[in-house]
Amino acid sequence: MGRYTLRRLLQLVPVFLGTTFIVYFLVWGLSDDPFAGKCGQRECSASYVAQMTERYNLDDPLIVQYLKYLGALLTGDFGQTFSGTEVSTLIATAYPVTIQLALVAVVIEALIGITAGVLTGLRGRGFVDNLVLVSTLVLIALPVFVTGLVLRQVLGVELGWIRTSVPADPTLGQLLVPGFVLGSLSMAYVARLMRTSLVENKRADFVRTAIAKGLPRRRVVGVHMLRNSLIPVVTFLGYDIGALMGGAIVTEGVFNIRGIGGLVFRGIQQQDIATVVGIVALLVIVFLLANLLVDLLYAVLDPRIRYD
Amino acid sequence: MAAPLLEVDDLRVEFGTGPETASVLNGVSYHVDEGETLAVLGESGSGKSVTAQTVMGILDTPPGRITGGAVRFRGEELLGAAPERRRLLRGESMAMIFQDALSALNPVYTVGFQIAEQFRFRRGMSRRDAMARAVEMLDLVRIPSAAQRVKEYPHQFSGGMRQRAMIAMSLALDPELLIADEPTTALDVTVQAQIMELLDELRRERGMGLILITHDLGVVAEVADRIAVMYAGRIVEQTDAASLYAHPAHPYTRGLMDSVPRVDDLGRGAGAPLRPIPGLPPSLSAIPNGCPFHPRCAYAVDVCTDEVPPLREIGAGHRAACHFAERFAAEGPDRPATQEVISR
Repeated sequence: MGRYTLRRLLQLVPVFLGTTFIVYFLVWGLSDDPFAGKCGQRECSASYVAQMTERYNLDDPLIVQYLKYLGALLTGDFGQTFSGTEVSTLIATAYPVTIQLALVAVVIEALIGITAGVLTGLRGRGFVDNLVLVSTLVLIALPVFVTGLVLRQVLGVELGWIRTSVPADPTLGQLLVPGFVLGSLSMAYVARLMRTSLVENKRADFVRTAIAKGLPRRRVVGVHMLRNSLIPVVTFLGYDIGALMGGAIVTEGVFNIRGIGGLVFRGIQQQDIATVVGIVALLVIVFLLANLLVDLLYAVLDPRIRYD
Repeated sequence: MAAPLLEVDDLRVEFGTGPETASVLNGVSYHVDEGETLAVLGESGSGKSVTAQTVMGILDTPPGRITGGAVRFRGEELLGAAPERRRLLRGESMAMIFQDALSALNPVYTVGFQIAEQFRFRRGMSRRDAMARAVEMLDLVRIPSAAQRVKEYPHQFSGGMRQRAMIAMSLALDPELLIADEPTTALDVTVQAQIMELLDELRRERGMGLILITHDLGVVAEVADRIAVMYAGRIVEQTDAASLYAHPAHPYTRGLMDSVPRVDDLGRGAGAPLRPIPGLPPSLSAIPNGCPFHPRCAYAVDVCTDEVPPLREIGAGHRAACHFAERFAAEGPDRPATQEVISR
């Protein structure tokens, strides 16, 4: 597996170069005048334009600009925003809360989703099964901003149980509801995936064998049925955590969380090119590493999969 | 006379409900004595495996439904027994091996783990002791370098080795009855012979009763003491192996024999075509009136379409469910059997 991991890590290089170049090209190459509207109602002063042209190497051909940017990036220099803030500082303030929120969301997805899936998968048709099927359908059908706004209104405004706006350095409790909102869609998928997977494995030959061996029912279900059923679910959760690490524009917006999603969003709105390229470059790496981790985890869960 | 090891008495099982109901078992009776091999022979869907699963208590209910009959192990009635009692009998008193060992073994656990867990959860052994016993079990079924192979997963075993591992697993708790459900169907011919030999040897050493479910007459001839032939959820003929081959009393049994290529066919002209049984087994939700085999039977006459032939004694220990069983038995297996047999 070592060689496979190395090969996968090497594959990160071209993917990283490709994605960052495309993003760089899109944001710099496609705007005619990067300074339009940057200085309020007036046109930007010549000295400002000269200074910015200097800072972002705008006189060079695009490819040279990109290479210079890349060179700086590889030494850990994410560059500066138009207003002169270091992009790395922005990321350092915004990313921790995004990671916390993503972890809370994944834990909620896993706990509630798997529990609901196991309950319905084992029991078969009945009240619980219908309840889970209908409620997951509702969660899947509702856009995240609706779930978020409704919960904020009901729990925050009407009942006053939570704060409608999450503070800068939130506690775990303050992230529970936003985490639930962020994870709700995937939670519904996890519940359904777990249920289907369990129902399939219930009739599997190896489960019949385990019963024929006279093992206690708890062991037949807990060891032989669950382990196999969890494989697709764990894989799904792994990919999902990679996606959640990319920030959550809607959830962050609803609960006023200063996370990475909102940062990218504002960067795009304000055409703050250095912010956008820098964060996207980081997120690409995070996502690729998460995917690699899932693939490795998959081989651990299912010994039939060997990568060498 | 002491109760037989296992007795299946007039067992009836249905699948589904309403007009879709399929009568899968329509009064199956057989018994197995200690140390004896009973071969259960029949086409796919004849009810061989369902009978075995009902005996083991692993029939899926629903969709299956036991509507009548009894299963007695050493005289103890099992169908009404508490689930926990039945669980304790499994593995300990009766064990089962399945056709496709690859899907019957759990792909995500090592072979050793799957054998050892019986010692751990039925004998209360420690992990380490149980694993040591698992190695012994693999040794017993002659898997080379067992100490290494216990750590491997089922997909790392060859087909034959996998079936050996399955056998080792079934014998872990030293059962008195082993049910082998088509244990060699998924294997190469040479490996088939080895597995059958191994099963036969283990049965002899341990004095186990063995129920061998198969559709392979060749396999049966080698090892079976008695043979039960099943068709459409019924036993149509039951006798010791020698008399079945010498005096098959049911046209279906004859049909099975005729559809197997034999070396001595060469004497009757090389390249003589096989003679398969025409038609298909009946749908179990619409079993024909009278003898269920009559639509496919070359000898069927009026009585066959009207009356169900009961399974009756036609000789010492020889039972058959055909209106003309005695005549077929008297004629012997020589082919071709003629229509005159019945009109005589």
